[in-house]
Amino acid sequence: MECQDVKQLLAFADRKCAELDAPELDSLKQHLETCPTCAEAAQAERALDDAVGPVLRDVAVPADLKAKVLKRLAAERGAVPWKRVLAAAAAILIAVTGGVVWLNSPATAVSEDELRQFVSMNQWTQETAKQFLKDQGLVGLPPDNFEYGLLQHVDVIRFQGRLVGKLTFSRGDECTASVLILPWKQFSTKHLTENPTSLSIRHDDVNEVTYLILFRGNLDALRPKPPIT
Amino acid sequence: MLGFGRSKPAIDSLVEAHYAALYRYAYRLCGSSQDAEDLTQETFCLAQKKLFQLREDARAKSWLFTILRNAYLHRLRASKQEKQVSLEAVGELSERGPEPLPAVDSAHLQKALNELPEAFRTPIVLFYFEDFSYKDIVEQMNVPLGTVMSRLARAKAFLRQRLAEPAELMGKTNQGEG
Ligand SMILES: [Zn+2]
Repeated sequence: MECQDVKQLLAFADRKCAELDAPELDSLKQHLETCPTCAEAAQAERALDDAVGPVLRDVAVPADLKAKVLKRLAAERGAVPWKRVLAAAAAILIAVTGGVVWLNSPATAVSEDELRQFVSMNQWTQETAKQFLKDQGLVGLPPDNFEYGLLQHVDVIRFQGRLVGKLTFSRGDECTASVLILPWKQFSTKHLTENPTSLSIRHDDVNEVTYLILFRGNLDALRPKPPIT
Repeated sequence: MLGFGRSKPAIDSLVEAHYAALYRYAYRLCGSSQDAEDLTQETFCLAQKKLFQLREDARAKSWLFTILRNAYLHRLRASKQEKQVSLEAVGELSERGPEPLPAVDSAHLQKALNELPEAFRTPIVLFYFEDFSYKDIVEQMNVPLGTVMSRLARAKAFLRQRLAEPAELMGKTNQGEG
């Protein structure tokens, strides 16, 4: 190893996340043992790092910062329409039961249609489900080949560390299914195999998503009815 | 009912895991606790909006640091405080330290960092935070490794020189900057 290379490598030595492999470290060490010039440079580098690093990292964090951040984030989420609708719906429930209503934010006009949608009294459609997921910042479309009149919930859940959309379909005792929408960019499902009684896997090549369908009962009960001719 | 509101939002876990590191980073970048608080808050607000872009939890810290730096650069440009000077004045990195450094004082160090242009301040702060590899620093700054290395070497030489001076001389020896 030449002195020139050592100069380069020194910056990579002694790092918390190992930057050099064992042979590189060995030959660096060997060189430093035999070359006083480089050994001195290495020592000066380390002295500076030891003097500066701990001081630079030692910054006192305000005790109330975390609470402030969480509060602000919650306030910003409060600006999301569906959450406002839920809050308004709760306020109406209190109002009609004769309770006292305190509102700490300006009142939001409630539309009955929106309200029914969000308390799942209106029927979902593939389109409204798609829009809901899009509003939550999720990619991936709700699957075809389901009867959307049977869609009970649309959820955004954390699955293996990532946010994904989940649709729950149900037809009485006949069948209940949860569909997870997994974009290919984020999930690999190659190792999964279908189970004829509980797990169906569908790949959508156009939208580049996989639908994992976990179900109980007869999945055919959730399929759209053919149009009456 | 919708399930989204029931569980703890994902962003809250990110706050708990990373707010302190982000604040420290912000503080060393901008040198003011008020600005550092604002930047930390702004970072998480942006992250909340862009959470869907985060593909892997393991990348969350680097992702948040990148958002914070971009927010900081944005402010810097808006306030036109960005230093236009390069580190030519610092000269070549000396082969060895002239003499042992005196004990480093935090405020003294911050003063020296403030004198550095952002392009040099950011890599040295990230370097000393020790949580990031060179690869991470390259990605966060979006410049080649060679550029990161040479800025780091110059920034270190600058700090070595500045920190060897008594604190009261600082800011007087390198006039023409800023
Ligand atoms: Zn040598």
